[in-house]
Amino acid sequence: MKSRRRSWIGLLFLLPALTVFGLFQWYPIFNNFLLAFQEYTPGMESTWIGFDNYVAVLGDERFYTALQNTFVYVGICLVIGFFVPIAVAIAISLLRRGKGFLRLAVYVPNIIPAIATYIIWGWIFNPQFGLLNQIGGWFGAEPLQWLVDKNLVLVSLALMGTWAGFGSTAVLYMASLTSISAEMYEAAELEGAGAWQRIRSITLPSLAPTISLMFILQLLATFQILQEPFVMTAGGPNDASLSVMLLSYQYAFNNVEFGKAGALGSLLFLMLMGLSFYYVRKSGLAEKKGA
Amino acid sequence: MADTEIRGILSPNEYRRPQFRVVYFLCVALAFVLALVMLYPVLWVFLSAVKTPAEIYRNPPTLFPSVADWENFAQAWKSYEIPRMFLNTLIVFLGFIVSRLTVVTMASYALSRLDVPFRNGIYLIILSTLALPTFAYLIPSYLVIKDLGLYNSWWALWVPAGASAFQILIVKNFFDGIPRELSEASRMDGANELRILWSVILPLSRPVLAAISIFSFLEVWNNFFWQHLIFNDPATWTMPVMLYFKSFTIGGNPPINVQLAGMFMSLIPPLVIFLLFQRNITNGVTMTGIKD
Repeated sequence: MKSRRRSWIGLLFLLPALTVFGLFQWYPIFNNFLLAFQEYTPGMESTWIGFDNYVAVLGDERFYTALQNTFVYVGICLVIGFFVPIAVAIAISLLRRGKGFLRLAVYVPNIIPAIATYIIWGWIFNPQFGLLNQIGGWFGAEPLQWLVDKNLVLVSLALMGTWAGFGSTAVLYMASLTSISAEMYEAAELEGAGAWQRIRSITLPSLAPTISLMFILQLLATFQILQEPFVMTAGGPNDASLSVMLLSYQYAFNNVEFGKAGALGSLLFLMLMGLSFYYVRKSGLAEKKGA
Repeated sequence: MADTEIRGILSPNEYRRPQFRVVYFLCVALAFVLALVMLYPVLWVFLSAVKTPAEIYRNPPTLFPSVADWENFAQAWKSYEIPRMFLNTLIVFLGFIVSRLTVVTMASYALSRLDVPFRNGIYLIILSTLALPTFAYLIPSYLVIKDLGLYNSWWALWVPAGASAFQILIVKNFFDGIPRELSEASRMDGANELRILWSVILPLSRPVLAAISIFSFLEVWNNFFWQHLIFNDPATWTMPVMLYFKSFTIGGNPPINVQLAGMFMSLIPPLVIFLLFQRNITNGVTMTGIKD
C-alpha cells in the first residue's frame, strides 16, 4: 500500500496545520524568551538590555505578593475544589433515579459564559443584599465583605471558580465510575466488605488514574488564574488578589513594559512546563502517537 | 431509567436495608441541594431581569417579581445591540469552525492515512503543544496578532483556530478507527486523496465533528479575555466582549435589571445548544478528557 508518490500529498495536507502551529504555538513561546531580554514597545524599535527585565521583576515587591497569592489560591482551590467532584460523582452514582438530570444540572455552570458567571457571583458576594450574606443572616452570621476583605478575597474567588468549573470534572468521574465492573462489587460484598470499604478499596483505586490527572490539570489551570481577579477585583483590595498572570498583564497593558511581562511570563512558563510534561506523559496522550 | 438494572457500589438488596436508607436519604438530600446551588443562580438572573432596580436591591429580597416588567428585555435588546452581537458572534463562530475543521481534518487524514516523511516526529511536535500552558503566553500571542496585522479583525480568531492539538488528537484517533478497506476501495476507483477525505472519511466521522463543533461554539461564546484583547473596535465586538464592556467597565452601563436581561439573553444560545446536544456534550467531555 505504500507509495512514495503520496508522500508529498501528505505534506501538503499537513501544511496548514504546521503553519498555524508554528505561528501561533511555537513562535510566541520562542518570541517570549527573546522579549524578556528587550525593552519593547509595540510599533517602536526594540533594544537589547540583557537580564535587566528579570532583575526588575525579581526586584519588584509586587512580584512576591503575586507569587504568594497565586500559591495560596492554588492551595485553596485544592482544598475546596479538588474533592468536591469526586464526592459528588460517587454520591450521584448511588442514586437510583434522577442521575441524568443531576448530570445535566451539575454541568450547567460550565455552559454559562465566564462574564455571566462573574455578574452572577458579583451579586452572590454583594455585602448588603448578596445571597451568601442572606443565607448567613438566617443563621445569625455577621455579613462578610467577600471581595473587599483582603483575607477572604482569594477564598471567594476559589468558591466561584469551583462552582463554575467542577461540573465537567464530575462528569468525567461519573464516566469512569460506570466502567467499574459490577462483578468486583459483587465479589467484595460476598466477602463481607461494607459499602464504605467497597468505596475505599474498589471505587477510589479505580478512579486513581483519573484523579491524578485531574489533580495536575487543576494545578495547571489555577496557577494561570487571570480572568477572575482581572474582572472582579482588579487584583484588589490592595493587591490581595493580584496573581502572577495579572501582574504580567498589568506590566504589558497598564505600564507598557512588554519586556518585563515577557520575563515574568517566561518564569511562569518554565514553572508550569514541568507540570505539563508530567500530565502529557501520565495521560498516555503521547503514547498514542505512532499507532 | 434503567439505572437499577446494573448494580453499582450497592446491590439492589442493600437499598432496602434501613441503615442504607439513611445514607440514601442523605445522598438524595445532597443531590437536591446540589441541583439548587447549580441552577438557582440562572433562575435568579431570569427573575431579577423582570424586576425594577429598587426591587432587586430590596432587603429582605423577593423571590418573584411583584410586577413583571418585560420592558427591560426590550431595552437590553437595544442597549446590547443583541441582533448585531448575535450576528457578529455567529460569523466569528462560522469562520472559526470552518478554519478549524479544515486544518484539523486535513492534518489528521495525513497523519492517519498518508505516507508522510517523519510522521511520528511531526505528530509529536503537534502533540507537545498540549503541554504548553495557554494563558502563560497570552501576551506574546497578542504581539503575533499585532505583527500579522490581524488586530481588530475577526481573522485574529479565525486564523489560529486550527492550532489545537487536542482536536487533531481526537480526530486522528477517530480516523484510525475507520476501516482502511473503505478508503483503499475508493483509491482503487481512482479517487484522489481530497475526494476520499471528503466523501468517504468525513461522512463517517459525523459524531466527532459534531462534538468538536459544539465545543467550539461554547468556546467562542465563552472566551471573553482573548476576544476583548484583540477586538478593540466596537464594530468587531462579539457577545462576550459586549457583556464585559456593558457590565464591568465604567460609563454607559445600563441599570442592573437591564444588565441582567441582556445577560439572560446571552445565556439562551448556549443553554439551547446544551439541551439539544447534551448527549454529545457529556460524551464529548469524556472523549476529549482522557482515555480510561
